[in-house]
Amino acid sequence: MYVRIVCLLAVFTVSPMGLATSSAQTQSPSEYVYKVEFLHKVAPFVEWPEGALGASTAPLVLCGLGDDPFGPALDTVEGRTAKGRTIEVRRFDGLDGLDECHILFISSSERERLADVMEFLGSSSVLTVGETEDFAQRGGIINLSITRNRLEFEVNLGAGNRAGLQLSSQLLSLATRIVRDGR
Amino acid sequence: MVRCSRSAWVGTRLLHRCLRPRATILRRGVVAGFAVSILFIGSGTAALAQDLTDLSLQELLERDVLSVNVLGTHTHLAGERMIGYKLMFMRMDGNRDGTDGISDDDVLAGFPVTPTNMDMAMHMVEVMYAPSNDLTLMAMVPFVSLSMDHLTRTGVRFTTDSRGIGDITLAGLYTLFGDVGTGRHRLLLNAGVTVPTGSIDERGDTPAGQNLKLPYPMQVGSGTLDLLPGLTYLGESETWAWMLEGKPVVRLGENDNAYTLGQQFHFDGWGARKVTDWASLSAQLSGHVWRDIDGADPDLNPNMVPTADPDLRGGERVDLLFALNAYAASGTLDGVRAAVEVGFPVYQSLDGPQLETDLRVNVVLNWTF
Repeated sequence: MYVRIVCLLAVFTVSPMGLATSSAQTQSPSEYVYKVEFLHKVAPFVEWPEGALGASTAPLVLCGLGDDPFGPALDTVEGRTAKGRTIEVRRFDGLDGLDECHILFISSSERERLADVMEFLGSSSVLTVGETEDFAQRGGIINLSITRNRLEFEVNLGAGNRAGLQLSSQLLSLATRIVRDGR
Repeated sequence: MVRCSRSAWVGTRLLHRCLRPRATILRRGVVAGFAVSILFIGSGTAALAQDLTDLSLQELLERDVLSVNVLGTHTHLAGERMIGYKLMFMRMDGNRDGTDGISDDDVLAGFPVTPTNMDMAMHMVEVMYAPSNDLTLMAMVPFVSLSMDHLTRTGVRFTTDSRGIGDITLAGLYTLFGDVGTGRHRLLLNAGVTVPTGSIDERGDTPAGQNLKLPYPMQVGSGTLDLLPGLTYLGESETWAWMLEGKPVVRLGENDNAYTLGQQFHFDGWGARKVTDWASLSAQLSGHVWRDIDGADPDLNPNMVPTADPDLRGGERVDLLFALNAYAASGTLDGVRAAVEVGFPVYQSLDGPQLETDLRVNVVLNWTF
């Protein structure tokens, strides 16, 4: 009799010891919420050339190019501050106006015309951020990926230098890889 | 024949003793326990949206992107590896012909020997690797332990046992539709094979003689290369996950003992509810259809015992199972998942006389890293 009771209790007993006891949450952000947060949090680790950000009261312009995978997530950074400036969000389908951006996220939908985008930007002081496998090797400055359920990024230091941007050593230490053009 | 370690065998016998009480009592306890769990655990979970804005860049990079992992993603994310252990226990007690239970005396009217009950324990070691978000590869190695009690017309009771490595499974899960990172609905293609590494020549001692070939249910393997195709639909919301799955087992050719186990088809419907950040409850309806054996082992006498008759091996069954699942998203046990599942048939019809299933217990422990 007692063996049966013990067995029944054992079936529904799970000890919480050692398991996560963080406060309950009912919603998990998608990967694009993490990528939006990265776009906001990376700004303090980047130095733009003198005058590239405009007057001290001018906004820090964060742009998205191509099919918008963020949905409303991108708007959550609108009005927040980075580098002492208010963030302004803009969305683009074409190239015109891209050189006014300070941080430009290039969607995976633009993979086929990435070369055109990079040629248009030239040496503009735009921090280009992408999410395709060869983005950094093709001249993008930072490429984001999700590996083993964690957000990771790689950096093309040469592309950053050509854009006149100085990436802090602390940022580079967090990168999973430093790549060069074509490699 | 490769034998299980003695510790695994001892552990299995302890489980047999724990679950030997009549399965009816356990069934009622399972349903009552599940209902109570739903009432007390499922009723009050605070909903606090996690705010990433307070995190530093380094902290952001150290967080799991998908945090609803207690519901499981079924597949794994790019670069993830998983190693795990699964114990599957099944208790079969009494015989059935069609949907009717029949007594030992009824069986002995047609056969000199009848099986009375059987315990099956499968210890499974699993490894998985996901080269991408769309593809998960897996290998499963089972260690099978079988024990069957018998009764003869003359009142003699005896037990036969067999154990060893079963048929190894190699499989892949490929996402045909949907995205594990952003999608709520996914369609997966299952593609696998079982390699005939399990023995089909298990022998044992019976009142009829020593070292005799054991009947079909006591063999550890199939002896054939089998295909495991299938389709799985997965759906997920913030607190619920659900699945529909259909998987046949397609036997290829004939084994070295001149028979082929019956073709099988399995279909499952499963639903889970997250009740805390680290625990979920699930329920599953699991259906099975399996055919009689094609051919016959020349070493077996089909007139001696029903389990040696290849035409009395088919059947169909629907099981209802309940599970409690736990997952550690951080801390010392980061990536560890544990689950206990208990279930019983709600319908079964057998080409009898054939032992009927009374109870199923599954225990899972794995680590994703």
